[in-house]
Amino acid sequence: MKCFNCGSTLSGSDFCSNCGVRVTVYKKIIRMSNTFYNMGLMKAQNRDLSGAAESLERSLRLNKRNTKARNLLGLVYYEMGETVQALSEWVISQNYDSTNNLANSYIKLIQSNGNRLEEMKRNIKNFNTALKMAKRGADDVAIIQLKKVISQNPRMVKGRQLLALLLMKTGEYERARRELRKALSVDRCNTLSLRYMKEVEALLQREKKNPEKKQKDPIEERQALSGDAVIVPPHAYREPTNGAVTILNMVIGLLLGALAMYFLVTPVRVQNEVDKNNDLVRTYNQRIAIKNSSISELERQVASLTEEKEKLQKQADQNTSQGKNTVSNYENLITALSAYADQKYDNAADALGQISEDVAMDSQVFDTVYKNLKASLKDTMAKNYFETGEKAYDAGKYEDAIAAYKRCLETDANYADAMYKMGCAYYASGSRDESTEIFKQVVDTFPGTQAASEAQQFVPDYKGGSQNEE
Amino acid sequence: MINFDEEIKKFHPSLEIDDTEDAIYNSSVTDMTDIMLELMEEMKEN
Repeated sequence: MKCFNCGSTLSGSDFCSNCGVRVTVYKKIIRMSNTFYNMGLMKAQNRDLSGAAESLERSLRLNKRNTKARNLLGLVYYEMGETVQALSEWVISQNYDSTNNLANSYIKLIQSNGNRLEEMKRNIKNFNTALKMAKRGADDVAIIQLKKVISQNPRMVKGRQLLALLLMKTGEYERARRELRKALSVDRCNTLSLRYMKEVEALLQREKKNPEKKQKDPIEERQALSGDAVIVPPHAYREPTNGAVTILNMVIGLLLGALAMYFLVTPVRVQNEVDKNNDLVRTYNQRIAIKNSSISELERQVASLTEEKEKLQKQADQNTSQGKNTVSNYENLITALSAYADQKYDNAADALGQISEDVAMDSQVFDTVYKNLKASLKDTMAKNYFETGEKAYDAGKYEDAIAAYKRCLETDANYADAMYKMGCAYYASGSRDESTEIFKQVVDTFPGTQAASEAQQFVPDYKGGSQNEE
Repeated sequence: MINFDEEIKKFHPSLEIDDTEDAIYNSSVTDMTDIMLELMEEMKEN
């Protein structure tokens, strides 16, 4: 406790130790203020808000600087839905004591939420509008407004009391009782709420006893409508006040929504998906067809290429063997030339004899060299062939002998002995007709020679042609 | 029995938030201590 005069802390004595002023009465006032504060606190804890407000106001009338009482009063007002009054008390409290004051945090709490503040403003305006409407006689409009106000600020005792009053006037006692109950849950010992509640219960009792004779207007008769009265046409719909009904309605709504989805929306979506899939299938089928035709075309190309490859392979093989023969002929020619150059005519003739004339050399040079060499080696070669034939004849290999003699004659057609011996080989091998022909040929071709006379012996009856008569 | 007109008169409009400043200024801030001080002043003068 501080001295009212100098502000110093007071002791237990009746005088201030600092300034000496008498503080007996002052101390009593302060104590009484604190007592009322305690009463207010107890009532607030018991939810007797209006009683608490009264006690706290008394406390403040005794000591305006009782910060605790003022803060608590602000809380009580706030709880009753009187925001402006609450703010006023807290601002005043903050003004008296700005350090470590709970009022600072309360004010900050309200001011920090801008949306909430706007909502409170709207609420207060709506309540005032509703009150104005009620005073004018527009009960229905006032009721609607008040319901909105209460939905935003459920602890507004004044709002519920006014709504209950209007509902009683319109004969809706049960609803009025509900509103009063809620008001009493906020402010338990509110005298106005208690009075209205007593009245409404009496009315309800009366209604129960006389159900036919509904009490039209226990509250005084309605006044005649004035010219500027607002008439709102009543509608049959009433909002369900029971929570269970609300939940049931929600469940039914959800079920209906689900059914609508299932029967209306889902088939369309399914159809869309099916169409999309069909389009995809068509597209893929087209691609597959294109691929198949490409594959067929490629297979045809592969077949034709395989055929061509085989042809070329055969050709290559032929060319290879031909190539081999060609190479062999060249090698023999070179060998023959080399031997001829070394005057080894027999070797040269042998090599030249191994050249196969069936192989197409396609080389003029080769042919020229071969012919020249052959011409040069004609005698030698013929002789060689003849000797080969002789050896074969003597060995009894008449066919080989015949082949050798033939080659000899090819080399040198005038080799009479070769022809004769070929005839003998035919004769020895049993081919009499061929031998006879050859002997006749020897007689005709080489008349007067040793060969001809020996051949004549084989064909004694043949007189010969006059072609080569000497 | 409740008289509606009488009852409705007991309801007053709530103060709006914009009127908070005026409400604070107009609120009575005289307490018992102030009265006591006034009395003491008067006694001194007398």
